[in-house]
Amino acid sequence: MQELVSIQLPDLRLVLPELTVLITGFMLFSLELLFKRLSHAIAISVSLVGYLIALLFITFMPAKGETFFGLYHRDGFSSLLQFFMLLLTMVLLGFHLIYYRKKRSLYGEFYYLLSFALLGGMFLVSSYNLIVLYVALEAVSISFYILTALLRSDFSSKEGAFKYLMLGGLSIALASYGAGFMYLYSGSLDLRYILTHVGENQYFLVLGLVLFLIGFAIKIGAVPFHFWLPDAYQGAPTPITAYMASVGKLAFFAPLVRLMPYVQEHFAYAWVATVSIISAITMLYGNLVALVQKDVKRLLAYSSIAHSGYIMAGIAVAQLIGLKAVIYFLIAYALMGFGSFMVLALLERSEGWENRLEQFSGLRFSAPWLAVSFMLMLLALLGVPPTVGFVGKALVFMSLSSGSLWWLAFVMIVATGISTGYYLRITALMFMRNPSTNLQLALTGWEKALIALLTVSLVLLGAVPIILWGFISPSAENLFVR
Amino acid sequence: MSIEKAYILISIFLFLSGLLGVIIRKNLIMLLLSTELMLNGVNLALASVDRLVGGIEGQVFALFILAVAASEVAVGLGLVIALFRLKGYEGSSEITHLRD
Repeated sequence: MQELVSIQLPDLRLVLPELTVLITGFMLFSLELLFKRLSHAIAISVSLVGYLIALLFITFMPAKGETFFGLYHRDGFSSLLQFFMLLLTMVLLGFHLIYYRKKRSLYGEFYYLLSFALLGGMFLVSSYNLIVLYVALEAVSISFYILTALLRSDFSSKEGAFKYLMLGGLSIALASYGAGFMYLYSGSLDLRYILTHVGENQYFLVLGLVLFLIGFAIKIGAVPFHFWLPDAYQGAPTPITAYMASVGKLAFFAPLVRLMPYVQEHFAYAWVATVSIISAITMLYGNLVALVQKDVKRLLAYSSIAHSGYIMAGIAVAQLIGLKAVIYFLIAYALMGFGSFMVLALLERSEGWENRLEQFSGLRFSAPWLAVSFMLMLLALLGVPPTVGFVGKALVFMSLSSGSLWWLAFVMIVATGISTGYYLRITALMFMRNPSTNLQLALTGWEKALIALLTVSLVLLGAVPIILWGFISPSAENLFVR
Repeated sequence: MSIEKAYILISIFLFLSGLLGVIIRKNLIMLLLSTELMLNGVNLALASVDRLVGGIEGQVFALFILAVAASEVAVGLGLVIALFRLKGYEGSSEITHLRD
């Protein structure tokens, strides 16, 4: 009788970073409830301390394994992505305050929603179970809907949030219906079991997988399903746009990356065909539409769609080299996208700035260092040699050639060529024209330091890619081992 | 045809009618209602698949979906109210400020 009632406690050491973020979120939530006018210094310091502790846990306690009865799976991949998520969230908290004060939209909700989005993202990158993936996906998405709408009396912010909510709800319904079909096929909700299980009625598996992938394609903004992305990115407060483009992308791509090593065995051919076609359309469409944009925030949103296409090109190659390229490019895009939207957030603080293209002319005179770092970020997005963007694109290209997807490699070169048009146009406007408006921009020392740090990291990680590669290579190999 | 398969067919019907509603409706509240309809189709499918494969995970999943969908629709209704306040009932159906 003794064995029947013995309870096996889950190994909580593996989820210490998540627990820390959860406790931070609840602390911020109760502080916001208790004090009517919460001091932002307190909220920022509580969140920074919490995230710092979680970061230290991830860095110095590299425990690997499964807990919660197989629902949670920590490996090198999840630790790597969680590290960058925490880091970018901390950087965001150094930027947002003056922007929100300028827009008269400082709410206490911001802090705990940020930490719940982060918590959802941290669970999303470290699970194979469909229930956990569903709940984590919704935690990220619902926090994002509210964060997108948090601009006082701004219609386009609410509109972007509503479109995001509608398409997000559609995607979650499709993905969970797909999960239902996969459950019907295998009798389990664990993705590893589902994809290695051999049973009759394999069309249930295919149907389920297709619905699941369409759901995720909506979330990452792949092209036939991208309608919400430019609107939500443009309507959202710019720090939140930066957050969605970095942490959101990392989180939403992670389940696809986890799926990839398992898909290759049974239907590699169908996987390669569908994902590469979607990726090609995404790259071309994103870059072509970005070319005609007049609003720089919307332009960068379309460039984010195009980058989803490049990442999916790496996912289409269902091989180890493709996996490594994808992880590198994901982290690279998270840094680049975060940096470029953050520069826009800094510029938006000056009077009368509307992110129009012609307002960028002569930025060199009014804000020389900001112009230089924005130029470096744009060149990184374009993929010019000593930056992370180049290394990421080169890796994806190498993996495409090793998977003999030559046509996709060609499309990628064409898409990059198209993207030269708008990245270089902004750069030329900033450096070769005379200023049209005079711009008053006061940056605090912190912000200068953080922008400099982001820019230097873009160049440094590109010039010495081995720094990241040393972490990416073993974690990608680990994903392929069963 | 067994009763489970009939329920799965009903769930497909619910899901597709919700999908159709999302595609053709213009009213904001009807849009929210349509996504709820889709998620209820998913719930029905999961519960009946449970009977077919003889497990309980599907019903657990359905409970999670119920809870999370409720919070999502709460956020959605909040957004609808915010849109109504800014534009009034008539203006709110034309959420086309942001476009190319």
